[in-house]
Amino acid sequence: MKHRLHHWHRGDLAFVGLIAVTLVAIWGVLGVEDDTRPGQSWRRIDLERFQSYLQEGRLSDHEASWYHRKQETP
Amino acid sequence: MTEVACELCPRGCVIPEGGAGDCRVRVNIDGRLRASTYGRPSAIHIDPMEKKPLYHFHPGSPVFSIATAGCNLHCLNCQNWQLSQRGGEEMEKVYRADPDQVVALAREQGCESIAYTYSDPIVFYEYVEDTGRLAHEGGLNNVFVTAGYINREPLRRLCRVLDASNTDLKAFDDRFYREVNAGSLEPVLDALVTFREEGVWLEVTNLVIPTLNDDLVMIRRMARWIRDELGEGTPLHFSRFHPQYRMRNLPPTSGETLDRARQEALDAGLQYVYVGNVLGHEGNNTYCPVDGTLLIGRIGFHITENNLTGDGRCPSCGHPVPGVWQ
Ligand SMILES: [Zn+2]
Repeated sequence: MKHRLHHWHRGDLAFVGLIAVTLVAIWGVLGVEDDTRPGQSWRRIDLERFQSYLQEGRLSDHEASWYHRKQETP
Repeated sequence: MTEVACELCPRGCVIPEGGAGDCRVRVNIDGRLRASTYGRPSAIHIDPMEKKPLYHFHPGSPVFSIATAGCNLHCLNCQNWQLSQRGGEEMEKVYRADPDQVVALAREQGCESIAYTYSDPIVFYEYVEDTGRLAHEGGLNNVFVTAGYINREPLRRLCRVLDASNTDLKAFDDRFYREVNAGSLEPVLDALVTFREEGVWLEVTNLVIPTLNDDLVMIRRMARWIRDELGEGTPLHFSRFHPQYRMRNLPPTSGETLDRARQEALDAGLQYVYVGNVLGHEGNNTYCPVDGTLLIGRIGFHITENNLTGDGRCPSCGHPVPGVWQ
C-alpha cells in the first residue's frame, strides 16, 4: 500500500479541476433545462405568423385574466 | 417593452412583449396578455360522458366537447400532442366558435353538457369561463377535463361555472411529475381538494405506466390520500398506457397490473375503482360497495344496464351512490 501514497502533483490538481468544471457544467445544463421553475418559462413564437392569424381572425386578441404588468424595461 | 407576469398556473411565466407563456397560447402583445385561442377551438366532437371518463355524472349522455391548442404540461406520453404541444399559429384547423355559438351548437346537437377537454382547458380559461356562464344560463352542465396544474384562486373562481371534473392524478410522486410531465405534484393535489371544497363533482384518473408509476406502495399511498382528502366515494379510474409520442420505449400496461392497482385501491377503502380502456373488464362496471350488486354495466363507453333507482341508490340495499344521476 505504502508506495501508492504520494504527494499531490500538478497533474492531479488539473485532473480534480477538470472534474469540478465538468460537474458545474452538468449542473448548469440540468438547471437550464428544468421546465418547472416559476417565472422562467416563456416561449418565443413566430410573431409574424401570429399577427397574420390575428388579422385573419384565426386567433383572438381577447384579453386574458390573471396576470399583471411588470415594470417597463428599457 | 412591458413584461407581463401570468398568474394562472404554477409556472408563473414572466413573458416579454411578443412572447408566449410556456403554454404557447397566452401571448404578450403590446404589454397585455392575450388569450389567443379564445373562441377558436381546434377540436369539436360529441362524446359519450363515459369517455371523459365520468361514470357518476349523467351516465350515457352525449357531451359537446371542445379544445383549443396549447397546454401547460408537456407529458412525454401525451395522447393529443398535435393539439396540446402547439400554439394557435401552428394549427392548420381552427374553428370560430364564440361562447354563445358553442352553447347554441351543443343544444342543437342534443347535448346537455359541454366538456372542455383534450388539451388542458386551463390554458383557455377565459373561453371556458364565458362559455360556462352562458351554458348555465341555458340549463347546460359544464365538464372540465384537466390535469389540474392551476393556481388555487383562478380555479376557485372557475368552479362557479363548473359542474364536474375528471382530473388526472398522474402519479403520487413529485419526481414523476417533474420528469414525465414537466410539472409538480403539490398544485394538482391542491386542485383536487379545491374541486371537492367547491362542490364540483369529481372523478380522478390515474394512467398506469409500466415501471414508472405502477409501484403498488405508491398506488396505496395515493388511494389513501384520495380516501382521506376527497372521500371514499370518489371514483378512481385506472387507465391503460399505450406507447406514443415520446414514450414508445415502454410496453402497454398489462391487465394484471391494472387488476392489482384496482385491488390495492379497493383495499385502501375506495368504493368505486374502475379500470378504463380495457374492453369488457369487470372494472368497467359500478358495483354496490355494501352488497356487490351490479349497479351500472358498461362495455367500452356503452351502458349495457343501469339498475340504480331514480334517486341513485342500490336497488337491493338502498345504499346511496354518490354522483349526479339526473
Ligand atoms: Zn347494495
